[in-house]
Order: sequence, then structure tokens, then C-alpha cells
Amino acid sequence: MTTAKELLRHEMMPHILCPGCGHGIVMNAMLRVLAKRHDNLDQVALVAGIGCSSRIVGYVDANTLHTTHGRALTFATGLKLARPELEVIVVTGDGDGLGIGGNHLIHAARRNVDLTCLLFNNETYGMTGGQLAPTTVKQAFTTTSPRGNTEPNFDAAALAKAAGASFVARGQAYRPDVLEEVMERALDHRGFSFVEVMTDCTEYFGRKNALGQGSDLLFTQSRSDQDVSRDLADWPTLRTPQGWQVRETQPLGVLHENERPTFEESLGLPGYSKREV
Amino acid sequence: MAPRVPKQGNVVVAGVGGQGVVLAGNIIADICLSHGLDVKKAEVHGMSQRGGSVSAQVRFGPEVHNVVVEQGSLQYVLGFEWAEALRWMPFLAPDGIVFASSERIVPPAAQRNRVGGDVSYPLEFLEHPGLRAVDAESLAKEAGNPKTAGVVLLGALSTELGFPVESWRDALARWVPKKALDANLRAFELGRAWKQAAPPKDLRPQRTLPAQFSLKLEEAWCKGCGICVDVCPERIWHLDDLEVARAATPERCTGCRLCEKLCPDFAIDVVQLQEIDLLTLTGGGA
Repeated sequence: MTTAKELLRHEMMPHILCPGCGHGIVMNAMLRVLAKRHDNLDQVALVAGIGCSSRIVGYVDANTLHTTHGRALTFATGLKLARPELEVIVVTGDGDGLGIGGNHLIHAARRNVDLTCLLFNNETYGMTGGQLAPTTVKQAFTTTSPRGNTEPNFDAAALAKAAGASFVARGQAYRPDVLEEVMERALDHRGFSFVEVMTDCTEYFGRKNALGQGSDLLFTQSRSDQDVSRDLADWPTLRTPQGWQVRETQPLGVLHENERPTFEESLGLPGYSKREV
Repeated sequence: MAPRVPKQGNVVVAGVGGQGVVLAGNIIADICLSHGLDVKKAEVHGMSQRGGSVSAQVRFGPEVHNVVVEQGSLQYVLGFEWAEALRWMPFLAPDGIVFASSERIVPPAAQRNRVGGDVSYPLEFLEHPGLRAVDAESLAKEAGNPKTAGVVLLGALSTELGFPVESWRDALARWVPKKALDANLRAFELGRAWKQAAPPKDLRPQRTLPAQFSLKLEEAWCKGCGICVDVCPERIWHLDDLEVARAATPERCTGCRLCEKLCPDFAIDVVQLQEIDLLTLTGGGA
């Protein structure tokens, strides 16, 4: 059986991600799922935009497409229409997919293109220096919110569901087994599959919010509110009495699934059924 | 020639719960009292029950103020169990003597290192000049009751500790159950007759379980985030000086693969070596 490691471009490793970055764990889970399904990735296309998460496609020995910021889904839609036999996976981040590319996300979901979209949500713009992202939770500190974020954040999964995605799920870097299962079901699903994965930015989100680095930050994904807010004691005046809105409070697993005609089917595209072979 | 009654001294009896450590301490204290010596005795027991560490300290002399033996002044150790005897080595005086039973009782906690681990017994004090390794288990069986292993060691101690042999026999008669007295007296004689002849019986584990998993590390890919160190339930990984993960005790790997799955850098591979039926190996099956 193929192992996850055999699907890497070994000449590119080690990758650029920071020590303890959650993206690496999600990539690890993704490759394990792909290794279970394929001997090689010749029939798999990974499409990515710009950002830390999007960089990971460069390390995978598949058909990979590194595109412009926020436009991964548009490139992927075109690719899927031209080569319907490919299994197309879009790897995007929260800034890429919800900030710059938010419009493309909702329309890809509306059209129900047969893609799998993995959105790595690390709650910040990691690559550009830790700025406030549309997914940054309230009161969180970033380089552009030095007094704590005052804006409400996007619930990416709810957004995708409302926009019409026929499969919506959420996973966590902290729970790789759940993540693998969710990804497998997303790949099996026919239609637009949206998987939001909560990951960590150790260098910016973890450091700015005193959540620690490496395993400490990873373990905050399982902590209760109280445990995490204790770590924020350095900013007592900025902390609410309720503490910290933790990522754990968000539901995990498959959140929504239905069957409806995909974009390709509506177009009557020839060759679409090839994927089934 | 009658042995000279010692003026003062101390003895520590060390063993595990259920071996009669406290009883042996009482017998020694009783002998000292019958010779008009002042005795203080301290015991560590309680939560040990069967298998846990138990010790009894006996100090005697014309007048004893403190119950606890000072480090470096311990004269005699009676080790009812090999590793328990070893615990008292730091307390031993330079000319101190250890009578250690070569019996091994692996505590339940250590038996959890089941897979691939060898429950290794400390052998370093075999070199100690004061060590007298006694195969008390076999001698006690010869005496007719395996429970008398402690009395075998008391018999061996009686050759060094200069009380008249009658005092030992009287004390035994006062303390051990009547129905077991004959076996105990036989064991005592066997202990007295014991000579350092044969080397202690093989203390190595009888069977080493083969390792089930091998841990492979891609050193150049490791960035030293320490996630593997913190997630491993068996605490196998640690970071070295260069902040590179190292498997300190790879034989303890149970194959949960948490380190492999949570490594962001693909640096760890957990490779299954062979399928092992644990039940047949540990003798737990039919």
C-alpha cells in the first residue's frame, strides 16, 4: 500500500511551514486519505491559491496548480469542466478562500461544482504577517488588531451551507482520525464538498494570543474556555468575563449533506461519468 | 565458641508486601530486647499490600534515640527481594553486609512495559563486596514451606549478627504460627548452613518480547516543534541538543501512531514489524 510519504515530492522537503504548524498535520491527514484511495496521484489535481495553506500543494506529487490569490476555486472549476475525470481538490486558506476569494467560494457552492474544497482555517493571515482575517474570533490579538478584534467572524461552514454546498463538514488538526474520516466522505461525495479544517498558526495567532507554540497551541483545540483564558492573563483588561471563544465550541464532523444536480450535470457535459470508472 | 553479643547495630529488612518483612523486623527486635538492649523500630508499609515496597528498620544499642538509620551507617540489609535490597545500598556502611534473596518480584506497574520491553533487573550491585546473594526461595521450598524464605535469610543473618542461636530459635517460636514452626526452624538451619557457593541464579528475564514496531525518523525534516514529545502516551520521544526528536525507548512503542499522524513535517514513520499474538507470548492464553 502506498504511504503518505511516498506521495511527497521528496526533493522539495522539508516544507516551508513553521515548526508545529497545524497545516502540516492537515496535509499529513490529506495524504493518508489519498494514499488509501490511490496508488499514485496521476488522476488527482490539487489547486491552490496564495497563502501558507496553499503552499502545501507544491510538496505533493500530484497534478498541482498554484494560482492567484483567492481564485483557486475558479481555476478548479475550469479544470473540472475541461478534465471531468480528474479528482479535483482545492486547497485554500481562510484569508484566501473567505477574504479575497469569498465571492468565488459562494458561487462555487451555489453551482455545486463537483469539487472538494479544503479550507485551512488558522484564524489569521499567516504568510503576510499575522493580520486580521475574516475568521479571526472576537477579542483575538493580531498584528492589525493590537487591542483585540472587535469584529464578529465568519462561520465558514455555515456560510458554505447557506450558499448551497451539498456537503459541509468541519475537522480539526488536533483530531487527525476525525479529519481523515471527514475528508474521505467529502471525496466520496458527488457535488461541492466543503471541509473547514481548524488549524494553528504558531508564529502569529499562537504567539500574539499567548496560546503557546507547537503542542501547547495544538492542545488548545481541546481545552475548555477556562483553561485557555487563563493563558490570556497578560491582557486582563482586554479579556471579557466570559473568557475566550475557543475553537472547540464549534461543532465537528459532517454538518450537512444532500444530493442535488452538480454543475456538470446541469450543463449536460459529456464525459462527466468517467470519474465513476 | 559462643558468639559475642553485639553492643549496638542496625538492620534493615526490605521486601515487598506479603513477604513477612514486618514480622522479620519484629523477630530481630525481640532478640535484641531479650538481651537487654534498647531497640527502636520503624516500618514503611501501608499502601503496599501485595507486591508493593515494604521495609522495617531496627536500631539497637545501650540507648537508642532515633528510629531512622543514617545514610552510610547501615550494617545489615536483609533483602527479601532483589531490587528492594538494592534500594538500601546508599545507606550501607563501607563494611556493611547485604543478604539478598535472588527472588524477583516484578511490581505490577513495571509489568506494563509489556511490549518489546525487557523488565531488566539491576545487576550492578553483584560486584559489591558485602553482597551475599541467597537463593532463599529454593532453600525455603527445601524446608517444606516457600513462605519461610524470610527465615532462611534470618538464618543467614544469624551467622553474622552475634546473638546465641538459642535466642533466635526462641524468638522464632514466639513469633511464627505454631503449625509452621517446624518448617521455619528447618528453614532457619538451612539459612545458617548457607554458604556463598553458587552464583545467584540467573537474574535476567526469562523471555524477551520482540519489538512490534520500529520508529523511523527523517532527521533533516524534523523542525523540533515537540508535538511528538507531548502526544506520545509512552513518553518515547524527546528533543536532543539540536532540537531534533529522538526515540529514547523505541521498544515501548505500542503503535498508536499519534506521533506519525500529528507530525506536521512527515518526519516520523511508525513501521509495523510483525503481527504478534500477545496472549500466547505472555502466557495469558490457553
